[in-house]
Amino acid sequence: MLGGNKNIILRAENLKKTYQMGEVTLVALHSVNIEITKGELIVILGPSGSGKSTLLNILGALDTPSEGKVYFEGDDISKGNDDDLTLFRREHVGFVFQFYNLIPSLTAKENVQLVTDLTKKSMLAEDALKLVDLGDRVNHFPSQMSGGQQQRVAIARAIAKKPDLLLCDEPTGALDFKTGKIVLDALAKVNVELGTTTIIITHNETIAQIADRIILVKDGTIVSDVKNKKKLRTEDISW
Amino acid sequence: MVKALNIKLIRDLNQLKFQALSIGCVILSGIAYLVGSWSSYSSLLNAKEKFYSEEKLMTSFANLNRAPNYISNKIANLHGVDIIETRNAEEVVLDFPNEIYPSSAHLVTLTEKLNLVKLQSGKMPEGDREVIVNESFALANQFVPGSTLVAIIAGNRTTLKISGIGLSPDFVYVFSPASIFPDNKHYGILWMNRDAIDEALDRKGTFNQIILKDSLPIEKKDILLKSIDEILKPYGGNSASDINKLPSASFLNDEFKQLRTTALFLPAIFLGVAAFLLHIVSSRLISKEREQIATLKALGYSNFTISIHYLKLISSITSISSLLGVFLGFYLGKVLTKLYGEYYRFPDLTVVYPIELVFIGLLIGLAFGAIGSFISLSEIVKLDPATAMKPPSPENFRLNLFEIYLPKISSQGKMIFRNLFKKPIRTTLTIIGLATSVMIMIIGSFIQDTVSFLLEIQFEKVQRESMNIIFRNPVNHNVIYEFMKMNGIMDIEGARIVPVKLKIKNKTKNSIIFGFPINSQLRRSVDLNNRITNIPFDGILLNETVAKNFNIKVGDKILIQILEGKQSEREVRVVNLVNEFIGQGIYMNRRELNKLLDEGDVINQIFVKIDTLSESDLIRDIKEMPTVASLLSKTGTLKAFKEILNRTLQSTSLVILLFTSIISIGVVFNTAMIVLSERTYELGSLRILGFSNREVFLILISEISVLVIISIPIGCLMGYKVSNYIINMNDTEGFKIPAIINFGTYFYSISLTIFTSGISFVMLFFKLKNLDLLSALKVRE
Repeated sequence: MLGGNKNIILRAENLKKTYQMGEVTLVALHSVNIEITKGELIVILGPSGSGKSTLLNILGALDTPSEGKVYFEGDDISKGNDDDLTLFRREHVGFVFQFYNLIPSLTAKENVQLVTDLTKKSMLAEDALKLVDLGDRVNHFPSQMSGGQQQRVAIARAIAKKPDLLLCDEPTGALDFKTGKIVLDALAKVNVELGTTTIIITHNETIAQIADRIILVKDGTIVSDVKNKKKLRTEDISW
Repeated sequence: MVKALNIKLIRDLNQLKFQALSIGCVILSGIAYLVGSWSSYSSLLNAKEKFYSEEKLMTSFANLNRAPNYISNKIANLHGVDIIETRNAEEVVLDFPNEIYPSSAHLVTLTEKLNLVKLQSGKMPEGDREVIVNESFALANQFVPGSTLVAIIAGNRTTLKISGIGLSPDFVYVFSPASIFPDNKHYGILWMNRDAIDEALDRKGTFNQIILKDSLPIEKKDILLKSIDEILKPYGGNSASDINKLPSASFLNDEFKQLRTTALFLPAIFLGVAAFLLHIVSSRLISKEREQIATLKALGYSNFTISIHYLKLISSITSISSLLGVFLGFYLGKVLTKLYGEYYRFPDLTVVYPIELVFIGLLIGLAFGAIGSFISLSEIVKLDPATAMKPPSPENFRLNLFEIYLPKISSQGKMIFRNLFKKPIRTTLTIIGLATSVMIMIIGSFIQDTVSFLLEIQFEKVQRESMNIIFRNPVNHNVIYEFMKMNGIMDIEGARIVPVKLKIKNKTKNSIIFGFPINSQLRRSVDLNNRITNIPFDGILLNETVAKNFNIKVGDKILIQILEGKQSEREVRVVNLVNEFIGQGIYMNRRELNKLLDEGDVINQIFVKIDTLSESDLIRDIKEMPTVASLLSKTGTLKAFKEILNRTLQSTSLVILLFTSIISIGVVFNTAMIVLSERTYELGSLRILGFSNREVFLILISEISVLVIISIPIGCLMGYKVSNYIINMNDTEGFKIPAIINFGTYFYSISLTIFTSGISFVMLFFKLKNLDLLSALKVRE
């Protein structure tokens, strides 16, 4: 665990998450403590079933912990009801998923607008798309775009409301190397230009090289949490 | 051991239980209605045929003024005549001490070879003061064998004893000749022994009706009828007719036709809607399970086995609901038969349960299920396992042409709009399904509106009198002055009404000339647009549809034969046409008609407007008059008719309400479930983006609400069109009655659809609340 810092945006204490699967109790997370500083780009690594997605879901208020607490800028968000969590996500969190989660009936711009309509501090949909180099694709429907382009729309949609936290679950999981890199590029750019705290979870260790900090999760617990002293630019990595 | 695929089947069914239940209810309603109405139709038809044959219903008949009995021998000798019988019949006024409204009856000879009376209770009349009365009249007036009633027969007050209560095949449905509505309380049939009636009417050795049974095919019948007319012409006969012209028989024919059509029409709608619902549910199921289907294919299951698996799923919904529908239908058949039995009196009305309906019902249910799922099943065959294993790519959307013309709408609005256009066939079918529920509600209620409208036109605008007095024979016009002296008479007009036959080229048509005074106030001719058409000073005012059927124009001269007295033929000029929708009569200035008939200033009916306070006294006095044959009070007729109408409508409106709700809930709920299931992933994304459950729910219901809103005007239009079709379904010689649908009916139908949609929305809300949309996404990870 990292020491006390006024810039800490998110803090999790003794997180435990269990799932009841019929008669079996499955422990997905136990004794997880984590502090995240504003502006950090963190990569959480771990094999399938390690609990990294569960952790991300709890940090992003998609889920609540069975035990333990999550503080966002000092406020406990772990005990909120559905409405509180919805409001929290709406105002503070942007998500990017492996399968993009775009609304097929809306164009790229409209997908982004879906979010900007909800919040006041948001940027223009076109600007968000330009930021991910999709300025020329604003009026395309998801079915008219490649996987990488769709994922970049998802990123644009996530950042358009200028979230405090950008949470990405295997953002390159469904993409080939070349498009995956373009997507990572976009994420890194957002982190640098907007200063958005970004957490990427992946099982691809190479991606961790672009992070400020690398956290390794195994069997539901954090086994290592280190600063990346040899942070690389996206163009310098390959897998 | 249960095969794995069958275990899947049971679990899939369990998963779909609410949708299966709602679709099952639609199928059940359709099959139940089909079986119920077919069973009651068969029961009534059987009873009718049996009654007609056992009680020897005549096949032809003729009315005349009076002829000596031996004349009947001439007719008996005509080719094709098997059995012949004569009788006397007369309209008589009845005097019920406790009944204000006037009652009358058709007094007729109790015949022995044809039109036999089947006794329901009591015995056949003996002596000259005993009669049998028809069952519905007896029931309405609580008569039992042994009761007495007073009739004014040929001007004499005669007390008659009811020896028995019976039914006869020529009076299954009883109409008074002066009224368009049945009124069992105030009009009945009295059968009297031949000698007794001849004596009472002073018609010994003569007859005024001839009834016969012939064995001629319909095309040769005209020759026989013409020959009969020839023979009876000197005796005032000229209207020999086939049995189908008999009011009771013709009315029953129409009713049976209508019963048969509705027995097929409504179920067809229900099963069509069910087929559509099964189609959307099965196609959704198959697209949801495409990966599973691909896996099964990869494992070596054939297209056939997989198709059968899904067909079994659909068939288990259709077969269970169809079977339940058949049994509910048999019960419904029993209830309907009993209900109809109150209007059509048949002696042996036993409920028929045609066993073949079990198989037919089941087969129809299964067939509609198969039709509904056919397209979806063909998708299984087309599914390529390798591609199906991969997650589906985003659905194709394009900017819609209509969007250019749309004002700026929110992203949510665009989602709703584009999704509706994404599957135009399904959207259209959903709209039609919903419109159907609006339509059923309208066609279930329009009869009441139309009848109320017709009653208003007929009894407020056309027949403005309070009472209609019919004389036994034409009387001098001066009789009016005597009536005017009576207390309570406010207005009075005399009319000469005479039956005629229009003869245009080789076509003929029986009609009636109404001779009213010029500027008649109590009887008027009113057209469809509520316009009053004045009686012409000379010439005739003819119904527009009759004119059209006979190709007659204003200014034409037409030939009419007077069906009274000497049966003379006259030429009259058509001076104006009127577009009436009740009655197809011909209107004339009474004085001109009197001239045409070569008679003095005579009338045979008078219309009076009275002070209601004096009504009972007036009726009592008028009933005593020997010249009066019958007396009709508007209030009495209306009261009796409205009673019948309300009873029928109350029992059917509940059924219609139930059916409408079943269809509406079935369509809205299933559409909602499908949309929810198809877009779980998308809706989950919205939740992640920060949309609340309520906002997601609003997006979902907005989309369905758009369908509901579009369906409403379409449903209203369909309701209007189908109502017009239903009302004019029977052959009415080109007469079109407009179906009148009140604003209230539209409002009620629309409200019901909105209300039942609301119920579906509440169900959807709880479903959505319990569905963890976020977990839908997590599974995907």
